[in-house]
Amino acid sequence: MSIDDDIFEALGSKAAEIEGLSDEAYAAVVEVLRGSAKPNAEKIAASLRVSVVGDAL
Amino acid sequence: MIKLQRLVIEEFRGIRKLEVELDEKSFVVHGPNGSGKSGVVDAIGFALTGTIARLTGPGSAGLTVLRHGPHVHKRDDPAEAKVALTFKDVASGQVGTVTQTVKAANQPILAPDTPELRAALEWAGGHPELALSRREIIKLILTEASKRADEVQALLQLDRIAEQRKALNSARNKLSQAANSAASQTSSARQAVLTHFGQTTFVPTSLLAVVNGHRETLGLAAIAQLESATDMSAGVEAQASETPFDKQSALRDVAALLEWLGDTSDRGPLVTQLVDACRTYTDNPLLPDAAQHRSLVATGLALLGDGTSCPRCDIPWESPEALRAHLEEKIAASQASAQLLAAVVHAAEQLQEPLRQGAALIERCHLLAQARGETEVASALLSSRDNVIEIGRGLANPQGALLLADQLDAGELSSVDAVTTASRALDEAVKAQPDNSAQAQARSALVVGADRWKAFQQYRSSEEQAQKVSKVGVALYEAYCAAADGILEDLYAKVETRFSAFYRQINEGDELSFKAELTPSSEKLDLAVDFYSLGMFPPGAYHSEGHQDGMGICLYLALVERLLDADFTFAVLDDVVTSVDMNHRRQFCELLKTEFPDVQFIITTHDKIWAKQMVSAGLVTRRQGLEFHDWTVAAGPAAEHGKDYWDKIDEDLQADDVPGAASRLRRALEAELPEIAEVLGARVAYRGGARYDMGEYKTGVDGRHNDLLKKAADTASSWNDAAASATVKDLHSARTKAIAGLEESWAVNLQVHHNAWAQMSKQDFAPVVASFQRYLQLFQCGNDDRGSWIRVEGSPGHETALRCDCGSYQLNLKKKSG
Repeated sequence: MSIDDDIFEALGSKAAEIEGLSDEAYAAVVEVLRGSAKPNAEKIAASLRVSVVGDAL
Repeated sequence: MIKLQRLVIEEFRGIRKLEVELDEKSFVVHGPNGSGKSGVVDAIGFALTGTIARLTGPGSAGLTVLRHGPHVHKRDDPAEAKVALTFKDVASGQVGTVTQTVKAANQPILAPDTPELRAALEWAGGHPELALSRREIIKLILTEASKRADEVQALLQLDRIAEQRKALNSARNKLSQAANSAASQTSSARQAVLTHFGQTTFVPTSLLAVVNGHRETLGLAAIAQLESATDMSAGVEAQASETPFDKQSALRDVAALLEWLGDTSDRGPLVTQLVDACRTYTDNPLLPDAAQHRSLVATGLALLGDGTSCPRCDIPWESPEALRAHLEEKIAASQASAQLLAAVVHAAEQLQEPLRQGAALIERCHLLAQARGETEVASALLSSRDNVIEIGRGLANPQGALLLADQLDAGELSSVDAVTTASRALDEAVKAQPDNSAQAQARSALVVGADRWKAFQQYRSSEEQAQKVSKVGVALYEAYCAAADGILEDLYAKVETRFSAFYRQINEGDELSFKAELTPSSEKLDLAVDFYSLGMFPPGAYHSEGHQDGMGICLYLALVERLLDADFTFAVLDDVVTSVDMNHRRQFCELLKTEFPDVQFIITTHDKIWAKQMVSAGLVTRRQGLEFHDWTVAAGPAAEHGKDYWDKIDEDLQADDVPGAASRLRRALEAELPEIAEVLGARVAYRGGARYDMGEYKTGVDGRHNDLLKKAADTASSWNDAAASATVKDLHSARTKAIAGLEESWAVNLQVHHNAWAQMSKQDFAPVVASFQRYLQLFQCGNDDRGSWIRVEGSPGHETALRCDCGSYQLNLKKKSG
């Protein structure tokens, strides 16, 4: 397992305890973080907004 | 993960044509400097990545793979420069060959082109850390903490973690800013409601009393409780002839703006504070430099001993105290710089809130002017609002705040003449409007108030959501940091432990208490190492260059082991252990053999003896070697595969080149007899300047060998070990024959180094070669791949064994007690 894998495994259990963070939003954030060498902060913020506020915003 | 089987190089770098059978085994390439060894390293790297590391990075300006990758004679024909590397994908067991030409670099041709082989090739190409030079490895040791962090992060590909952390932090800040902005909008909307109803503070009962007063005027039922969904204007009938205009409310809006313009008690001191902070920071040009050089100066301070020269640049100082004081002054300056910049940021943040309030007040008056048809006033207010918003944006980052210092100092915020003039004109225009009738006043108050109440509720709802999102952003960022820090701490602890163990192993009997401490902190990675139990110091403080080299390779191995784990199947080490001294090389080979038995190491060295030691220590077999020599521009290097000097002497004799064979035999004996004397602990009569001839070594070796065999015979007898006695007897018999063979040869009696050898015929010299070959075989086991010398274990007078490295030759020298 890579260091990246180790970190996201540890993060997964911590993220599950974050109130207001849906599984879908977390998965979207992880996809952004791991999908690019330079992850896009705006995409992460947008995923979190959807998680809490919904698609309306 | 791959292992390398075969390498074919054509017209590449300094090599014209070369085929190397690597056979998935460790391999050593040796030859003097400038003989073309690094061409092999470059070729492997090129086959896997399509680039040549040596032609990229610092100091490579003007160098390109296309122009400088081919052999110099083929520089205009890059298609001729090619490398073919046959490799095995360890996971699938498939074997393929990747071919790259310099002309079409990065367009590898893979045969067969299977998904497994392509994935394996891409994996290897993504791990440049598998081929490093001494220069790159020593950077792990001898560098400042911040640079070491960069090097280690690059090696472990931790830059991904830094980028992920950065993205999450940026997202967190964006969400936090959005929440703050939403809070500010809520505050402004609340203030708009209060101003409209002539209230100064938000007390729901007071507000409701004013609302119900207007409703009573219109004969409407009172509202019992003010809630977020309350419609203050419920029941109000729209009057076709009326546009909602509450003259009193409008006057209060204008009055609020005029008051904000005239009263600078909230923002005035903040402007002064910000301008002062910016001035202090920018007026001293040394402060920004001090911040940038802080880590460099801190390293210099840590390395400072009792000497009077700077440890970084060797400039002499009058005293260590003066140099220390100078560096401490620079550290203090960098701390002051960081504090001042923090003060700028803090002041800028504080100033943003009153600016947001002002922008909201101006906006309300702008809408009022627009509604009343006061176009010039509306335009002036709009321009002013945009200016205030722009300043607020500029203050959101330190550099923007520093750039705004002059503008703010010139009174940009206090220069309110234009806005004040526009506001007063609006005030006059509103006052000129006829007073509403009581009922019209009540209707307007409720309709406008209801709109503002609704807007306030929407802003409040948005703010609540923004605050929730912001909290999630903070929690996720903190969770990531905790997860990453935990993993990295564990990683560094493991690396630290393995690094220390590796280093102790190669310095066996020397630094048994050695330990290392890797301490990550923000952007730095400190490394401290034990020095003979006298304390923890930077690695360059007291350890020799050879020890530092050893540390470099040990830290590299510990890091790559952690990074790749079972995927660590091959590594190319380009002259990485140059400075490791003779005594530690055997342990280094043992380290690679015992800790990394499944890793294929491709090692280059300019040291022929070191290459031979790798063979004798069993790190590589005799066949897994390539010697470069006599490089010329026209022909490239002359390369010889896995041959020893007996093969070459035989070739010389086959070619009737007796002088060549004689020279080679003499050089071989000159190299081998001292080494045999050393491993057996033979006594050689002392000579100043260590000028011994072959006869002196041979006499010492013969005597010692005889003594050891006698001791082995006595030992076997003491243990009643018949098998061991028979073995010793056989060895003794072989010894007698070999030495007799030498003594009987008239040619050998000429003296082993005698020039007369070169004058002999092939028939006369061949028996000399055979005699010496039999003689040297006395000191070797029968393992042809190893060719290692037998060596004595224990201390002089207390020898415990006579054995070879592979264990096939083993004589007990420890007699049964009693």
